[in-house]
Amino acid sequence: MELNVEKEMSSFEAHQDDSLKVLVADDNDSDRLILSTIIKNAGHEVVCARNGQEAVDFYIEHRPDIVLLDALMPVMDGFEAAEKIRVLAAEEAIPIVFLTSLKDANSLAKCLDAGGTDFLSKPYNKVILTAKVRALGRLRRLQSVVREQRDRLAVHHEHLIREQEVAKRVFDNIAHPGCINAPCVRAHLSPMSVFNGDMVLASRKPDGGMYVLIGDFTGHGLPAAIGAMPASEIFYGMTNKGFSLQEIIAEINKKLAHILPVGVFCCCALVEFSMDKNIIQVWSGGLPDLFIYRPDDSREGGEIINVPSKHLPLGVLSAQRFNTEVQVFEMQEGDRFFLWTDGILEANNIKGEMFGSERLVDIFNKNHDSTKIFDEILDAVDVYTGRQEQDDDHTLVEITMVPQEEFDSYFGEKKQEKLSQKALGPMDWCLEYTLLPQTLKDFNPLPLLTHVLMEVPGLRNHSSKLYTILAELYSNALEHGVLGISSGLKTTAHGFAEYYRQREAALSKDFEGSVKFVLRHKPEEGGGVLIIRVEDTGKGFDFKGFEKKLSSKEGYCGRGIPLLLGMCRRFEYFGTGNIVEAEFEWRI
Amino acid sequence: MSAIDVDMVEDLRSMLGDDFELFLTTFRNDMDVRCQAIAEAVSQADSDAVRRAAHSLKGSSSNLGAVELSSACATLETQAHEGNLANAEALVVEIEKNRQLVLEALNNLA
Amino acid sequence: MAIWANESGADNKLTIKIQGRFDFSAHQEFRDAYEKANSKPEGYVVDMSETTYLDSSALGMLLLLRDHAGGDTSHIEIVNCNNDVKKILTISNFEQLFTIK
Repeated sequence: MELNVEKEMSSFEAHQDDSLKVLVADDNDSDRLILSTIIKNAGHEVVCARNGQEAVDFYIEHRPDIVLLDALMPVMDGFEAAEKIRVLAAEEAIPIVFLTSLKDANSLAKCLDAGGTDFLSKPYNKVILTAKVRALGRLRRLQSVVREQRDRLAVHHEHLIREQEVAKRVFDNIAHPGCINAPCVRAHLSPMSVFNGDMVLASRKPDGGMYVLIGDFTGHGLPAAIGAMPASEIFYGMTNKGFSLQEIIAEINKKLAHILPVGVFCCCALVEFSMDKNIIQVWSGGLPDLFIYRPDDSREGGEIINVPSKHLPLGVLSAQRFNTEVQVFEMQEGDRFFLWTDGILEANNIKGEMFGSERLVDIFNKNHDSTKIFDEILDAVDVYTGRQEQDDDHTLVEITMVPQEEFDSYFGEKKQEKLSQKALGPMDWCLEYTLLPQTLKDFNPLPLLTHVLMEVPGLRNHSSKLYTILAELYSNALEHGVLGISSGLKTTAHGFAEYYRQREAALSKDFEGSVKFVLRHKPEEGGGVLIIRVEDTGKGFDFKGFEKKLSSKEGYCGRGIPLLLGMCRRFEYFGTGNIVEAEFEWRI
Repeated sequence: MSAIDVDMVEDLRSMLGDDFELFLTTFRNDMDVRCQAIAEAVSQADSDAVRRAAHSLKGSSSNLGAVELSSACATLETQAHEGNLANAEALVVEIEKNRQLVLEALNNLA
Repeated sequence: MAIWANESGADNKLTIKIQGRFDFSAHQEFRDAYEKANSKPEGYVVDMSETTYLDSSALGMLLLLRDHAGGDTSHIEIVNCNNDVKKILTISNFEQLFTIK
């Protein structure tokens, strides 16, 4: 194709001066001489033919720009020659002028039917003939410019598609697979999703939960791809390091607000799934309502809980004005959470009508088997739009709530890093780190502390557990200790939301106090031990009663402690309950 | 009235330059050939051949402003197209007469 | 699609009216409507009474207008929205940036 265009372009450029190649077919020698002289004098090149057959042969040989045909000629008349030349010219719209002294309407109509562009009658007038040839030459050049531009566009388009495919591979290489392939996650994305502006990211949190992000950049192509790269890097990087949902969404917004031009933004939802607590937290900006679907086995359909978008899209507000408030929902095992971009709702049928939310809700209401609903939605959209799956433009994600143990089992045991006696890294050290009020307000110490711990190769295989221990102890120390919020609230979704509200309120006021971490690592026979001590300035709590309750396994205590007990070889409270020590051992 | 339009012929002379003599020769020759063809076709009552030859001579003679010759050819062409050769003999005579007048006029050119 | 801009003398506001679909094809015209205004108005009114539809690029254009009008210090009212238009603006939570009536 490129070669073709080159040829087209060079033939076009050769004609940049007004000179044309004109084929003249007339069986009358004297007429032919007059015609060819007039045309030559106007600066064009002339090829002469004496009958229709010669005209066709010379057309093939010389590929003229314009053809002048006498209507009545021996061997093959002008009408037949015109039809043959039209076929040979294919999509090139070659001007064919009939030279005729025919006057009756039928004959003239016959000329047009045969593919004539114009007529020229005898006697030949030099001025008219020259002007006509010039005009047809302009028409011809215009047509070849249009054709050449069309071909060039086609090449560019092809090129663009190829570049996009390359860029897509680059993106896939950079982008983490995350946990999008976990059995409880289903995601449908257009194969060229990076360039239609949609993205889906999913990653397991170090504490065993999961973040899922769906994003829809305005516009297509490069702006969308440019935004997707840093968003995905921030998402996976910060998730691994243990940052909170609020911190991650704020950071992505900050980055996008910085790099995207005004007017380009990303409609997005970031959802945190806590399978153990059956809680989800949603930050959603600029997307249509997301759905929680709670199937009811006793009937068709089930309950749909709408999760509206509460925020502006990402990339619109500055970091100062950005709002990280989340919605909290209590979930049940088997609930399905659906995320989508407006592609599904706005999928057009051939009449240009949109799929719309009513049709979508209808699918849920008629559903018999909740495991099939994901496919039911996609099928319904495909049927509605009449399009093939491969050229769709919509993004759909479904996450099913499963028990924590099942969720953990998807990932199996992490491959243990082989440790050698020589490369045990820093084995004997102590770190003391105290956070004072200003820092406690808006700094998350967990990524920093985890980073220090990960310097010990022996601890790397346990990063998830260590993160959980640090996170639970820190939030207990800050929230129940320093801020004095009751732990009893966290048992329901409503309580959870209230708990968050109180936490935000308490943090926004001035307060006294501090949280001190003391991390001590020591080598032991065949491994090492990490002692984590967390001390807060709060008034403590009745830890003796708490320990009794723990040993008798009575009820939910709200401090995530039973989880920690299973991970630590020693777990002890001191002082008034404001000091806690957890001992974590590892072996080669 | 002249058998040809002298102004038109002079235009052709200036346009064709050195080829003007070639043109005159070609035209005379063509006129001979067509007139013979017309006479033959008429004697054989081949109306299509009559029509074609008359059509051709009508066109080429019009380029010199040979109005009488051209219109005699046009009449014959039309009638032959309708398959009517009743007046053809008379028209052949008319055409031949005009051919002579055109030849004469061409010879008298400076 | 057609766009009119009208500067009213009394309150020094520029009214921009969009007829038909407000989408990417309106990009240049919409931009001209506020960039070619004679004086710097104190506020803007985007009249959607005859706007049938808007897409995400229209939202982008509104953000560009907001930026042009001074960002956080801008005064822009979006008025007379039909239900479909209002829904799109609400989904995107644009009421946090614009006064939607």
